[in-house]
Amino acid sequence: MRLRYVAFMLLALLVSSSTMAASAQDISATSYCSKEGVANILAPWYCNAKTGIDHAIQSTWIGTSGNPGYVAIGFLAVMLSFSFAALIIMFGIVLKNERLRTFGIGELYEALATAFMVGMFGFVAAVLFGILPSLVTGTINPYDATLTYLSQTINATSTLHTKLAEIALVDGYYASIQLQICNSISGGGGIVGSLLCHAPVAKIGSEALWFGFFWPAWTIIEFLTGAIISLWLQYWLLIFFLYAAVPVFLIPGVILRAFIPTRSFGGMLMAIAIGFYFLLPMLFSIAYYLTNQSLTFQLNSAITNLDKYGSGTGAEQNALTPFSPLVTELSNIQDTFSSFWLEIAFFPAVNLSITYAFIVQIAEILGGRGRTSSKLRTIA
Amino acid sequence: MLGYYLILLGSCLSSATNFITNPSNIWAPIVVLGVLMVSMILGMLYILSPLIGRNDIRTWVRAKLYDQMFTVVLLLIFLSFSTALCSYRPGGSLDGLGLLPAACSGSSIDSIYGIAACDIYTFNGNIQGMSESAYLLAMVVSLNPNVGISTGYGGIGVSIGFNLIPVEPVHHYLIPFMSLFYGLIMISQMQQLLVGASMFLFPVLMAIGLLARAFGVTRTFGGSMIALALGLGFVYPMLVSVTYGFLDYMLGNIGGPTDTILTMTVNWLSSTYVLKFIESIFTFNLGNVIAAALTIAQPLIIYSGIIVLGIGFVPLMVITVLDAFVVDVSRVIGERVDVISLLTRII
Repeated sequence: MRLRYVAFMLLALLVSSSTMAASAQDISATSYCSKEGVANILAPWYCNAKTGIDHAIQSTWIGTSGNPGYVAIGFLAVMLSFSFAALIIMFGIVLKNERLRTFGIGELYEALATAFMVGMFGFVAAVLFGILPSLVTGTINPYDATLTYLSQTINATSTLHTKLAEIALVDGYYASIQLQICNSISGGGGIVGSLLCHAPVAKIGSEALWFGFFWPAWTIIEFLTGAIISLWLQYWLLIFFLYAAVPVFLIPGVILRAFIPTRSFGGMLMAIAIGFYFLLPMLFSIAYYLTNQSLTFQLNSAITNLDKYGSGTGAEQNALTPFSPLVTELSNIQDTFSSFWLEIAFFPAVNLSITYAFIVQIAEILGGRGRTSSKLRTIA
Repeated sequence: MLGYYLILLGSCLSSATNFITNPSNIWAPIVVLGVLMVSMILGMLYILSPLIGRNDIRTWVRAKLYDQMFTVVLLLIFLSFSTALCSYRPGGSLDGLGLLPAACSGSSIDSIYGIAACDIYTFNGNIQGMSESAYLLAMVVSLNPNVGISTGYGGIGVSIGFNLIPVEPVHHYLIPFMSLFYGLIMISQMQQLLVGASMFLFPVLMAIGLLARAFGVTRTFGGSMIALALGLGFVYPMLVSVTYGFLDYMLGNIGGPTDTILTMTVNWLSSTYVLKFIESIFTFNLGNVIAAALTIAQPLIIYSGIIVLGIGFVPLMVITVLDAFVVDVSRVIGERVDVISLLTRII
């Protein structure tokens, strides 16, 4: 029954992803793809509008001169499993041992299963990344969509963070200047230091600016700091599996699956590769597709308003009363937090949980890897 | 032949202390002796069993003799594997995949253990550098000279005070970074310890495993130890070199830490920040110094994503994979050992 859910979920994901494929944004438009941009330095092919991510992934799969590519290495790994099975059959025949021969035939089936899995992996990758024409409405590229959405959100959040901090710091500075009426001053007049005012009877400062704008703004800034860290965390997680899933998990998984003692382990590695290479970015792209547009719109309009009201002396003048534009803008920013919570906490938690459940199921199919996972669930 | 492998193994592990390496040279003959001794007893039983009319013992002895042979095969496999492991230079492959940071490339550390140790060491250095940078920045922005003007007569008067630096609140969001990094670095430090120990754990656990496997009573325990040795001594450093290699490589590629963030921060503070600060006093342009403070605080936020990935998600994933390997292999050649279950039971 659970397997049916997994299959249904995958099917639903494929269909829904196809509908959003057309909305994949042009990443080269973001500042992260500028010459010094983070994305450009990390993965230049990702930002290259001419070649794009599809071609880059295609070259890693098919290979270039001097680099055999994943297809060739995967083929070799599969051949290893076949050779192992053939060897057992051969020994069975030589030793005239029927049980050994039957066992070898079983291993041959296992090798066939491995070949089928690798073939399916390549096929799904080809469809998703546009190497083959998609079976549905168009090419689906979860990495392109997710990294674009993430970059846009990170970009907008960082800009908002900086703009708000610039205004809040100026206002906080002015609000901290206080006029004190003292009934005990030692020393005399002149510039001698405010500490000489021993017993202030009254403090007159811009309390409205301090409590009405600075502290709420600073609370938002600290929240935005955490939000940016979470967004970057998701970004790096995706990049990590984009680089490492096939060479580090899939191919060793295929090789280890060829041997009986490490069959379950190999199956688990293959399941990790499938889960994190396909499912996780796809889940992220769907999740971000649902909220990203409205969130970035809200963030960008907040940035525009901060620019409008916070420049020059406006930073102080527009934050003096509870009805001043900058103070009301803080409420608008707080309104975006519902989407923010989704993107920085709920989506990663749900997506990782689904991917984990998927890996457990697939690992069980590929190599009988359920028990360890259940143990891990108890400590997770 | 056996001696040749032992010499190779000894030279491979020459960096280890004598206390650790000596047992790895001693245990192999002991294993062989143990196997021979048990085989002799089994042989006697095999000869004597028809005399007492117990053919079932003969069958049992035959099975046990095969088991003894398997121990010798395991010993030879291990010796060959150790040789291959020590002579394997994974630097080129990892570099081709973008999983080798610049700090860890070089023939002197080009081995599984060398690269893994270097990767985790570099990563911890990055965390350390970031913690120190956050501390330095927080300290500088919180240094807040105060100017006050007061006037009055007869003990009653008016005073006004203000700070020279408008960026003091920035330290409020730098402090959580310090707490985060200092708190979580322990996880990475433990991994560093384990990676450092993996080269020693491999021969020691393998020796215990093969020795125990040679004797009937401790056969299953021996198998479990062999699985644990392979897991901790081979799979774990491989996983660390791949995962942390990637994180270090990425940090290096975006001009991030790799021991330089602290230098970068110090340079920035001494050149840009101080100039902007002095300038702002004379021109009263607060925006300049605020922008300068925020600019240097931004990389900390960006790099934090990688650091949190490295001290949160990655260790969990590495331990999961390691545990799966040990469970599988131990089930086949010994008693099923589930490290995580054991640990959770202890906790």
